[in-house]
Amino acid sequence: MDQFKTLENLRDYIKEIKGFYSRPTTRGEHSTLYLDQNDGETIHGIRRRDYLFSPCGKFVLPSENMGLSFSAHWQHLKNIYRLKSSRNGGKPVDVCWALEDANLPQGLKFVVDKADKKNRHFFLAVTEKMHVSQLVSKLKWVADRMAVIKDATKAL
Amino acid sequence: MIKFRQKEEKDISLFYARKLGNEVAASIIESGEVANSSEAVTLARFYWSMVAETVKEKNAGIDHGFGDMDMWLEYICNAFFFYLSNNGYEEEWESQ
Repeated sequence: MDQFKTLENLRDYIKEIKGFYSRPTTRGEHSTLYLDQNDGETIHGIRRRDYLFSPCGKFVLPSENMGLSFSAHWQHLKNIYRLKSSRNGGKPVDVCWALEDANLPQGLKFVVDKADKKNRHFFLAVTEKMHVSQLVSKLKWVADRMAVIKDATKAL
Repeated sequence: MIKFRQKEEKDISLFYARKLGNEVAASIIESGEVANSSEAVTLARFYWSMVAETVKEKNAGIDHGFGDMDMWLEYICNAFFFYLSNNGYEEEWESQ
């Protein structure tokens, strides 16, 4: 539970930032791609269930209710952080985040998850049909520009 | 109603509710509704006990064939959290 005491400090830090999108990421893993999985549930590091794929699996189709998951509020971030910390064998978890006004590559857009009435969860959705390789490149681009709070338990 | 984005989320939740012998949680998941604060606490507590159970299974090499459990648990977390929060049970979720 020490992690969560420290995360309360992280909350105080983060709530000063208006308009952010964040993803808890286990140290050593990619922040926007799932590169370590080889179970048929990912396509080039993109989870099949996160995006709407064409039947052939080569293209990603626009959908405003699908995309890579991002927390836009402390409460949602805490849930996913706790989940990741519970399941990764004690490895440190970093928080990767981008500001709301960060420029995104063409064809990507943060859209609110309509399932949450308080707008604390967003999808990084695709807005135009694109080849999977294009989406991979764009997600890498986003990852390269995200700031990282390394191991919140120690950094804050 | 608890809005599961994928059918498997409900199936997996029910599987673990029954495995853990949590009939109240199983009933909530079946109906998609909690009736009161006590049931909201039960659902929240069940979620984190399910996570703990999957960790035990992972360490023991037990695989039920559900696929990427990190993904499913993330999706289920969102389904439960949004449902409880949208219906005035945010404190119950946060208390667990």
